[in-house]
Amino acid sequence: MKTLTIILSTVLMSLVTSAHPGGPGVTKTKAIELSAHRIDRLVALGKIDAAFLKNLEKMEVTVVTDQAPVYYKVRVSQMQPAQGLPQQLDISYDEDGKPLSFQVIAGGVNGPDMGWPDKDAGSLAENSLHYVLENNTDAKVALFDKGAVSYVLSKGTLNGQAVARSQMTSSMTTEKLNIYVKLDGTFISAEIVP
Amino acid sequence: MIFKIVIPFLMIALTLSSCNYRMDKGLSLSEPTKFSLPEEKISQLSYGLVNQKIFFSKCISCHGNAGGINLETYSEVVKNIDLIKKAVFDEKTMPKKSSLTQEELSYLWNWIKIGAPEEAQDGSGEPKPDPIRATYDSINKHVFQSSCKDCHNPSGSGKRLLFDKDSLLNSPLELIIAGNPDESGLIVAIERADDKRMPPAKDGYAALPSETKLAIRKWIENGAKD
Repeated sequence: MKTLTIILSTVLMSLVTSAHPGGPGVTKTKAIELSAHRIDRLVALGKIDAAFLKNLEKMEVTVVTDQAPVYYKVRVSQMQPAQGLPQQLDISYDEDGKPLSFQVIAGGVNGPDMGWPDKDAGSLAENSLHYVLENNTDAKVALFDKGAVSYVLSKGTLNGQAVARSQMTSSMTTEKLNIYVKLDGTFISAEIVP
Repeated sequence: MIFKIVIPFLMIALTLSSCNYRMDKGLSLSEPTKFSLPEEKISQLSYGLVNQKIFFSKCISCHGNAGGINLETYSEVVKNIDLIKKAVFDEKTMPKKSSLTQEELSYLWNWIKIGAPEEAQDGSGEPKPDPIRATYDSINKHVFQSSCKDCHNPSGSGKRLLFDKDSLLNSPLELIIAGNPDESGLIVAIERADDKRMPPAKDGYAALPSETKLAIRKWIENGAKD
């Protein structure tokens, strides 16, 4: 019985690891960043509500283990739909970040219209996420690149200046990463906080 | 008698000093420079050749129909020839986003020096026209190299998105969806009218001409293979 368990475990483990040999081609943060691009494309093609781009609020990434070739699923929440009830968007990717499908679902919670004046929320998110992708050789930033769980965009002030604040959480640390960009998308600074 | 000698002397002196003044203000075309070319090459210089080598690939992406100085035709180039010389050779402020090779500088310098002729002095005629075709190589030459690579290069601000064939065809951003130009990111980017249009208006780039967009569409429609 013991031998059988060991053999079965070994076979199972090899199946799991061979599905993505060497790990995925893109990180979780890259999957989130690709979602900001994907939203822009889907809005440009008129396939989803433009508020996903204009009023993007949150993106959460999960690894899917039982729906190959799907590897990442990113759930996008918006603050305010163009009309009607709040909506969410699920985007599926393979392990190399290639988009496979998308689905608009009912859900989420309405929030205030941030009224981003210069850049839309999607562009602000994209620019903020570039900080993580370009600094992932830093061990602390890498925890957010590889272990990203959620990304939230909000408006705030920094040194008296109105800014877009992005906050990321990671499954690899209890700390949070704040990224500040100007309202035109120019990077200002980043900090890791308890 | 004094006037017969002094006045001509003064006139010559004044003329010479004005020449010196011109030279101090910028590079003089009569000076021998590092841009020298053999006589044979100089006699082949024409607007068509210089346009193909320099204006088309290094200038027109900004100095097209977007407003401001237009360098799309011979007459417009001639009209702005002093500005071109000043910006490229004296102030070295152009091209803004890239640079000219020594060969390109030499062609431009000598072409201006011989009076910016439309036709080559040796009668060698215009270089063969090379309209854009629906192939990667042609699109790369006419579009990516002239309007994109200033930013989209490994150390540029657009480094996340490169335009070598492999990167273009395999980007997770689905820049090219073979057979489906309507949903290909490249087409969306060049055809959109908002501030995300490529090449970007905020950096002075004009929208790509219709025939260029059509060639890219056709290439994708045909499967983006060639």
